[in-house]
Parts: sequence; structure tokens; C-alpha cells
Amino acid sequence: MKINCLKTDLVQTIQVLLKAINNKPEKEYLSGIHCETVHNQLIMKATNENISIICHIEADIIETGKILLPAKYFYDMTRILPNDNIQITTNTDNNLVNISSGTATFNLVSMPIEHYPVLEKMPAVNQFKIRNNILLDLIDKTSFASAKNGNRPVFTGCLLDIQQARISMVGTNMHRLAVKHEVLDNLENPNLQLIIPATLLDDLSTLLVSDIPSDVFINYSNNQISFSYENIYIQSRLIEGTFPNYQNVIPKTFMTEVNVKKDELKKAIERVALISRSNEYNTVSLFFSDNILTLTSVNLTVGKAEEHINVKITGPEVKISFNVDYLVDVLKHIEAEDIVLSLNSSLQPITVKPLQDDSFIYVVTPMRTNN
Amino acid sequence: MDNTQIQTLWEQIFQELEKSLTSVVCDTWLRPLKPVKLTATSLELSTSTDFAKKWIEDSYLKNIKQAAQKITQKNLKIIISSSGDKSTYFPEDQQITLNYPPVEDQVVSANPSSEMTPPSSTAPLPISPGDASSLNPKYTFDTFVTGNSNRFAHAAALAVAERPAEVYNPFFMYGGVGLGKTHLMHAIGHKILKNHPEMRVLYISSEKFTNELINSIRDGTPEAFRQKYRNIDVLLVDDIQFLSKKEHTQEEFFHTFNTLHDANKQIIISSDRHPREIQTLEDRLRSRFEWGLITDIQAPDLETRIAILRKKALLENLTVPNDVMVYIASRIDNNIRELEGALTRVMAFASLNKEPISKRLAAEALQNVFTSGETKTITLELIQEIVATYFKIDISELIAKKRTRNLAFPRQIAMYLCRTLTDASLPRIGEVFGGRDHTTVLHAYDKISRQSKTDTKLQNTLEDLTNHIKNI
Repeated sequence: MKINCLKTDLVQTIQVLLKAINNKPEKEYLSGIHCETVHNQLIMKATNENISIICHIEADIIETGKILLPAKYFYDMTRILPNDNIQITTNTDNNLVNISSGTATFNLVSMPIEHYPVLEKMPAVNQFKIRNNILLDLIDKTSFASAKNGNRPVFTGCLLDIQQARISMVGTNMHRLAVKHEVLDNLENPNLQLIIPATLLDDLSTLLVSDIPSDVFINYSNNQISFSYENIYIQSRLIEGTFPNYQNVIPKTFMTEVNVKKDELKKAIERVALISRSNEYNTVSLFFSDNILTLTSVNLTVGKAEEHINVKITGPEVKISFNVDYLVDVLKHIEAEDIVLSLNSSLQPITVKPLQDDSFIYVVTPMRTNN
Repeated sequence: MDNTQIQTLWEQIFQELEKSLTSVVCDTWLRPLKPVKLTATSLELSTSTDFAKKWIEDSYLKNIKQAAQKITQKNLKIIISSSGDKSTYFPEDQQITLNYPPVEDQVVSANPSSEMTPPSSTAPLPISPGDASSLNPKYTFDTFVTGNSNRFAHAAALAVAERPAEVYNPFFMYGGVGLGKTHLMHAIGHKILKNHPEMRVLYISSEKFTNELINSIRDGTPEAFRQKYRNIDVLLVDDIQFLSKKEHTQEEFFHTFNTLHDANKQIIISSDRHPREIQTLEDRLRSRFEWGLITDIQAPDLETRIAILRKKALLENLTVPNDVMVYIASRIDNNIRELEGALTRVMAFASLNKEPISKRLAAEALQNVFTSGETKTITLELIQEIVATYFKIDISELIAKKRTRNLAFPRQIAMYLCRTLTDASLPRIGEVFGGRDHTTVLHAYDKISRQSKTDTKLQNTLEDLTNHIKNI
């Protein structure tokens, strides 16, 4: 094999592929990047148990061939090569692969390629497309709320729910739920419900960013899903199981509604939480009364923190406690300046929404405390 | 020593401790201690958990020893024992979990939209407290969409609803047909009743007022009429311009107004024009209307029209693609009723023909609604709207001063399109983009034209957007 390609293309692509490389994979060959020439492109692949990534870059193919290179070294080397152009040449006599650019040359020992699995893109059976900025927004608003580990594996992913023109994403961890709705541009969408692993969504949220919105093509089967975007193809298993009906846990009626400025609330919670974070449970108490929200946290040996902020309350007063992180998490992901908290009793879940925007709903359950 | 003596001794020691330790500490750790055994050389106190035992031993043993010495004059050894409960002393804060239904019987139930349940029977004369029967349950502040055209009126209406008869009395709204005056009026009524369920709220059109007056004279019950309209806390009168040229009705209304106003009751009035433009309105009535606050409601701009359609779709649980909404909103611009009606028509058309909703279908459904021969002009507003939706940013951000790349780039693209697709002048384009200088627009135009020559992705985007704009 002998090819020429651009350094920037190569380095960016390897960076993407690294997401599918585990540090200490079970099989040695999984720590390598598979490179193969196809027509006038270099196709590069990487995989771990969960995801596979296939990318292609333009290249001058002088001689066809395929090699398997250790990912980390490949990345580190190509990154620091001096010139814009890189040549990769295999040596038929030995296992060395020559990677050079300008006056610098590296020789890497290539890995045995025989056992590397055949990675192919999914057949395009069920396909639809969505613009990357819409998908990113859906992920940003919900993925944080999913469970990090799990008694219930369905919660380690987010539900993607499409009904005609409406697309929703839901993330939850049994204590809090985030739902974001969007309307798609057209109606040629399937009705579907898929559970996508949160780790994949987090990867996507860095891979899909761009200045100009462009389409992401999504392909799915009953247990796999793939995302194609520009020259990147990423495929992952779906999470099996049925997501429970999330609509059921969104409270529909409320006794008390509070309008509050998001930044004020976030900063107040963060200040008050300095005391509570040394507790076993990082809890903050909120008392809504007379258009004032009083936040308190107590630790008998450290001390007590209290803060008041002005809010607008409609309805009877309420005292309720929460896990600090569950509140701060949502405040970090809402862009609006003003938000509305809707409450019932001190032991019932509340909703947090941006003012006058029903496309995002966050439900969080309180803590039961003894004071 | 027997129990009561130990108890008494311990109480004395405890009181001594209260002098030197805070009440929080005493209440939390020391008060629950129970004296168990007293010997000549030691005092044993018991607590319920291992945790508390350790805590007290680490922190307060010295204090207890000192207090005991003061009371007993003996250097007693203090022993803390625990009844062995291994859990922490503080009952744990417990995180409540979400109540997910079991997955097997997952029936997606249609969520009824949370409308206010309509109140029961129509009120006989007079109006009883808390009666909302004259109000339409669909017209609340929650269902009202605000935009530049009605923000002031909305804010004033809210203020009136929060503090009836305290801020703006009377509150006079005027504006063209189908722009939301009645909606706001009812919203005020609902909110006042929610905050003050004991108040008597009456909504009436001036035409009905006139008819009831005439009937009461004919039936010989003028007193009952007066009682009905003067024994209320909030009077909402719609379309007051109908009183024009009806002198006797105006006279009666004048007296009603005075009685209510003098008693500090809230009066809210709507009309299709400013009081000074209502012909043959008695001066004394006109001057009373001008006493309070007069606000107008204007026709909504494109952004607001789209928001109204979105809200309606949401309330009726419909999913309508974005481009259909923009299509309808860009063609009906002066009347919200017509706008919502158009949406209803499109939905009905789609469901009756069992077709999915698309722009083509909407065009077919509405061919009679749009006046024929209406050529759609591409407005600067429309371009802003389409670019904003495409890049998923708010129009207000497109116009704002922020220059971060994710806003500046779409803004430049929008300016470029304004220049190429319309014949608006550079200063005019600068104006609609938040008062920017015409040279800014020129720079944007140059930059995008240059870049699109080499950047195919940008070229495609521009083509895409242009098609979108032309075909909407």
C-alpha cells in the first residue's frame, strides 16, 4: 500500500476513530485502526464492543492495500508531523509501515490484520434524516438526565420517540426526567421508539458540531442504530427493553407556580450547597412564600447557609427539599433567562420549564427530610 | 441508687451542660441520653446508636465530666453505651423516586388537555361570587401568545388581573378585529377569579347590555337590571363602540360606570377604536374612559403569528410541520381568528382526506381562503424567520448585538439573502437587523458572496435557503 493524504484530514479522522478504541481491549487487534484503500479514498475503521466507526478521507492511491495500525501511536505521530502532506507506505519485506512527511519519518510496526472483524455499514433498511443542530439540541437537553449505571438498563440511554412530525428525546434516572420536543420539517418520518445509549449520544454531541446545519442520516434495525454525518459513520447497539411511559410521570396539575430568574436561582443554590455538600446527601431546602424563595442547607458540624431571592409565586406556600445536583443540572441546560417551577405538596415531583416554552420539561422528585 | 434519683441527677447535669453548650448540640446529642447506672466512681449514660455513642465520646465527654463533677463534687468516670443500633443517628434524607408504571401494561393514554372545567349552570340574576360562567374557559393568560404587537396590553392586563381596581381603572383596550382583545379580557376575568374566588365577575358585550336594558324597561324590571350590573366587583364590557348613537343606553352605562368606579370596582372595556374616534359618544363617557389606561393591540408580526399557530397546535395536540406553519403565517397577516381558522381548515382537510399534512395540502385547503391573485412578496421578516429556523436560533438573537460565530454567521447569511432576494436598500436592511449600519450589511454581502465561490457547503446552504424562501 502506498498513499498520500492531507495531514489535517488524517489527524481529525483518527481523533474521531479513537472514540471507538478502548484502552485495554480484550482482543489486541481491537486497539488498532484498520486502513484500506478503496477507489480514491482511504477507509479507516475502529471498533470496540459497543460502537464501530467508519470514516473516509480523500487520498492519492499510488498502490492499493490494507493495514492495521496501533491507534494511539498512529495518532500521536501524525499529529506532530511537520508538513501538510503525509505519505504512508508499507514495506513488503517486513511488518513496518513508513509514515513520513517532509523530512520526518516514522516506522511503525503494523499489527496482524487477519483476525480483524469485517465491519460494514448497515443496510439502509429504515432510514430518516435530521439536521445536526436539532439532534444536538435534543441530546444536550436530555442526555444529562439519564442514569450513569443501572439497575434498569433502559435508563442508561435516552428514548428517541418519533411520531409523524414530532420528535422527542427523553432521559431519566428514576429520580428526574428531561423531555425535549422538536418539530421536524416534513412528515416523511417513521413512527418509532428507540433507546440510544447515553455514551453514544455524548460522543455524537462532540462529533456533530458544525457552523452550518447539515443533515445526519440515521439508519436503524431492531437492535442497532447508525449515524452518518459528512465523512463519519458511527454504529452502535441499541439498548434493549421497553422504555416506560414517561408521560405518566409528568404531573399535569399544580397548586403552586413560581416564576424565577434562572441565573439567580442557580447561583443561590451553588452558594448554599457549599454547606450541604459535606452531608451524606447533598440536600437543599426551598421555602416558597410571599414572593420570596428562601434556600437553606444545614450541616450540624459545619454550619448553616441561607439565602433569599425574589420570585413570583402564585398559589399556596410550599416547603420542599432537593438533591442539589438534580436542580443545578437542569439549570445548566436551560438557556432561557426566566423559568417556571410548578409544585404540589412537599413530597410530590415538580416540573421546571423555561418561561412560555412547552418544548422542554424537566421533572424532579424531592427529598424526604426530617426537619 | 434507684431510677428517679439517677434521673434527677442527670437532669441537673444536663441543665449544667446547657449553660456551656449550644441548644442545638444539647437537643441533638445530650437530651436523648438516658442515665443507666450510677456507682461511686462512674456514671453510665446510654444512647440509641453506635454512631451517637462515638460522636458523644469524641466531642462532649469532657463537658459531661466537668458538669457531673460540679453537681456531684466527685470525679466520676463517664461511660457512654449504646443499644447497638448500627444506623446513623440522623434518619436519612430519602430521595423519592418517580412513579413509573410497570412496563407490561403500557397503554399510551391520550392526555386530555388541561382545560379549566366549565362551571355549571348559567347564573340567574344577580351574579354570585366566584361564578365564571360568563367567561370562555379557552381564553386564559396561558393560552395567550405575546409578541411585539400586544406586549404592552398583555403586561397591563396582567397588572390589572393581579390587583383589580388598584392600578388601572378603567382599563381600555382597542384594536382591530380578531387580534385578541376578548381573549385578554376573559384572561383577566379568569385570573381575578383564581386569586379572589369570592369576587363577582361579569363579562358582557355592550350589545347584550343594550338588549337587557331594553328588555328590563319593557318588562318593568329596571331595578333588577341595575342590581345585576352594579352589585359586582369586576365588569368586563366588550365592543363598547356599539353604544355609539344609543343615547339612553349610554346614559344607563354612565350611571353603572359611576356606581362601580366610586365603589372602587374594576372596569375593563374593549373597543375597535380609540375613545376619541367613537362617534356620538357622550363627552362625559369619553372622558371617563380616558381616565384610566388606554392600550392598543396591533396586528401581530410574522414571528408572533407563527408562535400563535404553534400554541394552537400544542393546545389541540396536533403536530404540524414547521414549513406548513410558516406558509400559513406568511399569508394571513392581519387577523388572528382567520389565522387559527386557516390552521383548523388545513387540519380538517388532512384528516378528512386521510392525507399527511404538507405544504401542498395546505395550499389546496386554503386556496379559497387566500384572496386569489395574491402574489407573495418576499419580506425581510420572512427571510429572517426562515434563516433563524434553519439555524435553530431565535429571531431576537439574529437581531441582537452579539457577535459570537454561531450568531454572526447566520446573521451575515440572512443579510446576504435580504440583499439578493429583495430590493430593500442597505440602510433599510441594516435597520431591520437591530439598527446596524449599512456598511455592515455591505460587508456581510461581500463576505458571503466571496466565500460561497469556494465553499460548496455554503453554496448548497444558500441554495437551500433560497428555495425555502421562494417556495414558502
